[in-house]
Amino acid sequence: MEKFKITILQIIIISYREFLKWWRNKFKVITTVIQPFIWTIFFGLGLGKIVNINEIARAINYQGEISYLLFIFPGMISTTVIFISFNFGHSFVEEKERGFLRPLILSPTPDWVIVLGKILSAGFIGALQGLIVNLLGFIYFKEISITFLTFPALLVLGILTATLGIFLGLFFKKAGSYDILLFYVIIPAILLSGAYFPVELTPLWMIRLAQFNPFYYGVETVKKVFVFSLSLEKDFSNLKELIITKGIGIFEGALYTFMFIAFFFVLINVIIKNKSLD
Amino acid sequence: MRFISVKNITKRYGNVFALENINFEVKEGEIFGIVGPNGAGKSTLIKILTMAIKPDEGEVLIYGSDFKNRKKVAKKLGIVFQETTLDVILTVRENLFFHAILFGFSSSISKNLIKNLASFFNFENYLNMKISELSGGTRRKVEIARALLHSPKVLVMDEPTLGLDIESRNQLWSYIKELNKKNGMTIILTSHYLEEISLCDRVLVLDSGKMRFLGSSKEFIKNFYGKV
Repeated sequence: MEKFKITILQIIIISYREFLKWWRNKFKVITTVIQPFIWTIFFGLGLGKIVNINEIARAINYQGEISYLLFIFPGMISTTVIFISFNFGHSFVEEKERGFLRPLILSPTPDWVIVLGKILSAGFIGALQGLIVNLLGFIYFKEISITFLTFPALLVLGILTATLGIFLGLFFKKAGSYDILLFYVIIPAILLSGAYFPVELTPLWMIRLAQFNPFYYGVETVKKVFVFSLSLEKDFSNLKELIITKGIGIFEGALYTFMFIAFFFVLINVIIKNKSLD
Repeated sequence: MRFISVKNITKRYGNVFALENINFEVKEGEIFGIVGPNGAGKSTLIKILTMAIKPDEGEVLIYGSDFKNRKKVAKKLGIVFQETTLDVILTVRENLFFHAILFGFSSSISKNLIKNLASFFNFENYLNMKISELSGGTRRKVEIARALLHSPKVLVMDEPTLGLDIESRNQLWSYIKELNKKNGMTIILTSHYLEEISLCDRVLVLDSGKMRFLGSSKEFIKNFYGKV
């Protein structure tokens, strides 16, 4: 029991350390929140004029009025979470490169505890920034919704991204090389996640490819939470039916996301078992 | 008792030998110096001794544990790295506290340990300052304090006095000698300075990854000074 308590304390302290380092870099905090908000305005109001929103509404099985801004907002928040949480993979490689990881890995704390602490903090910070963007959208655009499920959905997506980021980071010695992944892996994966257009409207091979994309499930969960809250705002009396119809979809998306998280976490631990993180 | 044993270790980076066929043992309670010019393999040897990296060939045993059991060894080693590995954006207290938790201490014990070490190294007034606001000498003291938080049996230091002025170096050495004499702590360190090498009990000289000398520091100074 004592060992368990210490392990929990170690996970918390590793996460808290990362959180403090992020929080004290105010410039980074502010810029990463403002950037997606500006993108949303340009994308939502600009691209919204030329996109056939009725076709999108049919593809996502949404009955009722919807604007392109409303459709891409959860995708934009998901992009914020993915970018921020994935950036922790960069920090991880940088720490390896500059030796800052050594005090952690040369401590008696098991490597999986170190990795878990880092993943949780990266996921939490990504989700927190996503939530701030959501709040700004809620205040500015009025039609944007927010519910108690928003943060957990963003957190799951953030944890997924951080796990993937650290997994990929194990294969890099230089943080500069890791950044290439952003253009060759992350941006294509975001585009294929349904964040900006429904994957269902793409050619069959893209749909098949999306099924192997972990972000597809994470972003899908976030989008379903938004649709759930929109439907809830419209008709609160139908809560029971909504939980059954939309809730199952959310649960399913979260379950698939968790399966990817578990898969990459196990892979990380297999790799680091006989190999130093240095 | 010889509890640090290095047997035939070799480490390559590509085709270059960083270390080649190194053999030595360290006795309990001694100050053991590793010296040599730049690129001799000192830092690689320190990384292998602290189990940060694995040798390509050979074996390092610390209290009978090898690389696979490195987490067991961790509690016995206190490590001061050549480059600072403190989080500069965090305070002295935070850096030490996080480290104590990683070594399995409870929150209250950690606070007491920090208080005692800050008093021993005389940096109580700096506990709430960020590392980035400290002088090089104070940073080094904090790094050594961090390495000593869990009362290790062996203190491993890679160029502990590099970049420090003479006063700070002398002060640091008085701490090192006190730890060695009073607590019987084994000290392994690398250094470029002859006056520091003379304070070691035994010395290992490396050059281009090969062993050139292993013996007492007196013998080393007598025979090699000016030749290495």
